[in-house]
Amino acid sequence: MKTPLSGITMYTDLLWEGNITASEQQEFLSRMKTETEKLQWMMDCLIKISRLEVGAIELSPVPAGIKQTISDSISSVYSAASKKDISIKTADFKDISVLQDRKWTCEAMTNILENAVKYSKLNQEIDIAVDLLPLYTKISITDHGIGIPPDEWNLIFKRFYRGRNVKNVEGAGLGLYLASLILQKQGGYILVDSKVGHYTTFSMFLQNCKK
Amino acid sequence: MPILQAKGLKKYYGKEPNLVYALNGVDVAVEQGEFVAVVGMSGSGKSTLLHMLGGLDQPTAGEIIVDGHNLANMSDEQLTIFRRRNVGFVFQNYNLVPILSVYENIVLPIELDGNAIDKPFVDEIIGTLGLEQKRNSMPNMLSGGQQQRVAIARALATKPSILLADEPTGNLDSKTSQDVLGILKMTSTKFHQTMMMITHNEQIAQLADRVIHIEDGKIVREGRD
Repeated sequence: MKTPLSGITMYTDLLWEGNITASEQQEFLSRMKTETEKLQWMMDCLIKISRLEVGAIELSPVPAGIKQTISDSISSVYSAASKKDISIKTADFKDISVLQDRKWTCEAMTNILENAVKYSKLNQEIDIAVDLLPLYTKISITDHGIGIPPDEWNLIFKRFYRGRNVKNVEGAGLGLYLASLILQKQGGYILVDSKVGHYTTFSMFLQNCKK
Repeated sequence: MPILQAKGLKKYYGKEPNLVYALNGVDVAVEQGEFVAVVGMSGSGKSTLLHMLGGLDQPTAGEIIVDGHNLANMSDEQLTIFRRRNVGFVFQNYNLVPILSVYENIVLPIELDGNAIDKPFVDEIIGTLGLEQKRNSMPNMLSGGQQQRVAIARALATKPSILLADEPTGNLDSKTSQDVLGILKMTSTKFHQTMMMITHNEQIAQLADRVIHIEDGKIVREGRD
């Protein structure tokens, strides 16, 4: 929370002092808006996490097709991906009905896709694939960015944890924790696989509907 | 009060000057409901640690307390009874009884102890593990993943204080491994089970609440929240 707040405080002070050009004024106001949006996102995330943890919100998983969920999530990150010329490709698959609360599953998936976009370089590709396993359906999201070393695979899902190799990238360390919590509350889970400098695959697992 | 506690655990094999230090002073504490992974290479001592904690073997020195029971001073017979009532095991090679059906395999430890079977509970476990259609099947008719699910059901059926899994996905292909891993995590949460899993594979360990790294019989690193 501190970084966006200190940014907002600094710009407010500068604007208050005056002696700045009109274009500087526009610049500062624009940056303040961005920092406020970041703060808003963090607050929303923390509130959702708290509510989920104490059971103030209950998820309602019902049988629902996974294709729609994936399509909705991709739409959410489309503009951020386009800015970096990143294309998101989904391998062909037959729609599978899984136990999910679509609104929340979509939020979890969007968090993972946002990370994939954030940690990819310009012009790269993000691949999505779906596999049907005996008890779960696996949705894999692969980026070809910086990668995560194995000794951090257990830690990245913990609240506020930020990887060693992303200290210079903006982030609160909340997105993955929230995504993992959402999946758990639906009887699912997330696994990561990665090769540093080559790829990272986050796999989301949701329960298949009983036949 | 942790449900599982080991203090100064040592296990030596052989005699001087060829003494093998399988465990060389290990302290571990596991809280009720925790899912802990112990990661180490071949020969690190992780299997030895599991065998000590499950009462399958006695330490050379040190203390082991499981749900209030002090294992260090138990006789073989006491340990056998202790294990049957308090510990659920899942092994790499499933270890199902080939001449018993899925259902019979699952309730075997309960029957061996002369206890009444909690039918609704056993039915719930079978349902959760997707084994309803296989209740009367024999183990040789099941896939590796299905057999491991039966082994997990068997371990859960006695409502043990702790569930110990030794490379539970070692004999499974990568997709089935991920499926079974999810089941282990999900059932441990659903049935409020304390679980300890040993593996050499970081991919498998990542789902645990806590990962303990072991090397040359000593704990070298512990990841905490």
